[in-house]
Amino acid sequence: MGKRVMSKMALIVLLAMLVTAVPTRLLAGPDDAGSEQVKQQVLEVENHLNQAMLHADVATLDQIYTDNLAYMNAGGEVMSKAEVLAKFKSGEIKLMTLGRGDIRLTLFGDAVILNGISTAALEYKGHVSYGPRRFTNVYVKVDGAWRLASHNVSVMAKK
Amino acid sequence: MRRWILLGCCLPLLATTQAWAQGSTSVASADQIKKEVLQLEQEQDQAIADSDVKTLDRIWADKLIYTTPTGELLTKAQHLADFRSGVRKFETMQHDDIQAWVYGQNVVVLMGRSTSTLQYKGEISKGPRRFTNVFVKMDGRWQMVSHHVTDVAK
Repeated sequence: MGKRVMSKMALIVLLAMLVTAVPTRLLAGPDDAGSEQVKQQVLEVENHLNQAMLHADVATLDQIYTDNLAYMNAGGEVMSKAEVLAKFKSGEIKLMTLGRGDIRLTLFGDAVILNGISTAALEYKGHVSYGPRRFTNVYVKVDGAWRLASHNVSVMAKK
Repeated sequence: MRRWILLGCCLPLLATTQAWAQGSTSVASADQIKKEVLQLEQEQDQAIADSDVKTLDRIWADKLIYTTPTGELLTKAQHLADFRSGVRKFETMQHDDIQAWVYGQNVVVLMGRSTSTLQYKGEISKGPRRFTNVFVKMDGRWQMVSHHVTDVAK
């Protein structure tokens, strides 16, 4: 009698697991309601990043940049995370004002591409530029947090 | 006896379903992932050199974000149309100094240098340029989701 009850219970548990397993996968798509939430999370990180650059807050930049950050400035100069942080720390890169527009976020699985236009006043190696520049920031989730994996900038052609 | 047969049938089915439910596949090493993406990058370079729109259509994600050295933002459809019409044409293809960074199982950031000869809207440029390509694995295959290229200052 006891064995029969146990066997029935085991069967019920197995069937319940089978039934609950399927919808989890079917409901998880790239365009589900969670994508807006992800974009909001990334926008918050982007805002922190902008403030950190404006204030040369190297500790916050260190947290936001991935260790393998691929950073390319408007002159096509490629820098590592350590080099970018050192330039903010020394004042060689100095963001004097913030100006951002035409921000577009696109979610691709485990990455978010943020593309926009910058009109920030930026001093680099003693030269001040105002743009406009088009930039692409690539965010990836590392250890549960969205972090900047890549930054690229191009100076926009005058029309 | 019948109970055991039933259990024997259910267990493999359960294991398969749970794995599918979690989207789990075999875990690839960073080196394996890098190799796969570098192969795709080479395939893309060849397709660009040959204006092979069909291959580019397969490699590029539908929502590709493409930024030119002059800050022009192009969609996948616009970019494919440029290749199809000959508005954009690569006369030579030369990429080097390629570096790739793997994030998890599904994202690769690739950076490189281009000295390709490019004809775009009637103008010829030879670079050097620096570019960043982002590849994401979606629907079981690697796709390029973003390309940003910048002229290197003289």
